[in-house]
Amino acid sequence: MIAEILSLSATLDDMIRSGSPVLEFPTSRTGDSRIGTFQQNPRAVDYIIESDTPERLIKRVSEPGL
Amino acid sequence: MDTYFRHRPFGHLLIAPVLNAPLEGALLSEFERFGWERRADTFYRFDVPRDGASKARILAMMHAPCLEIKSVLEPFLGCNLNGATQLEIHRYGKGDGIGPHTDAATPEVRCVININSGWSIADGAIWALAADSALNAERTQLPSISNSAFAFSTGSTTFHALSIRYAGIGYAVTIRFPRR
Repeated sequence: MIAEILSLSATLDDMIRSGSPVLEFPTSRTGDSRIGTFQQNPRAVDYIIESDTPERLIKRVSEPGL
Repeated sequence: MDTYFRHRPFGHLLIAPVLNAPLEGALLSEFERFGWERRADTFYRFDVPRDGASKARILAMMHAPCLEIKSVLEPFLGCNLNGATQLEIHRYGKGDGIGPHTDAATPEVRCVININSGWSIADGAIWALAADSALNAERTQLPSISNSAFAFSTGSTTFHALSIRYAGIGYAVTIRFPRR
């Protein structure tokens, strides 16, 4: 499966370099999609796995989602 | 769990398959039953699970894989990952994606696992990795094939983004290992 990933990665790189497809990304309100900061939002963390035993692993640490 | 390390545009480890096939299928089934709520802002659009109990089930299902992935990542990335592991789940539908960002604000090793019922180039949702915010420097692309993952140690040049999805639904499960 790794070979498939590497092959597709190379294929995609060649395609992007040749101009098709052009990848689109969500844009900001200012039209600047070059860099984002959403991971700096501490509410991105939902749960923490705290221990090595499944029975004790879950602790909710913040609100769902971002 | 096969791996392949690439040094550019930044050190990242490709992992595939990440999970055994029954677990991959079970996760997909769980995700399809979830209730989801929207998260959208300046440069990202996706959904997150609405129900805490649902996410708790996923955490329990992912416990053993998290430990295995951690044992694989530590020697490759040269990090001690003894801190509390965190898990995030995103759903990407038509029109969703994330613009370039580094995750540098959190010193972590992140492993992003693709889960979906099938992917093709025409679907979009292509990962782009680069060393700059304009996605020009040493850029490379990765497919969103289900049960494949890429992992990296966050830094100032670890730019990555998911292009807009044009068809279908895909899930990204991100395991976050605090770096010590």
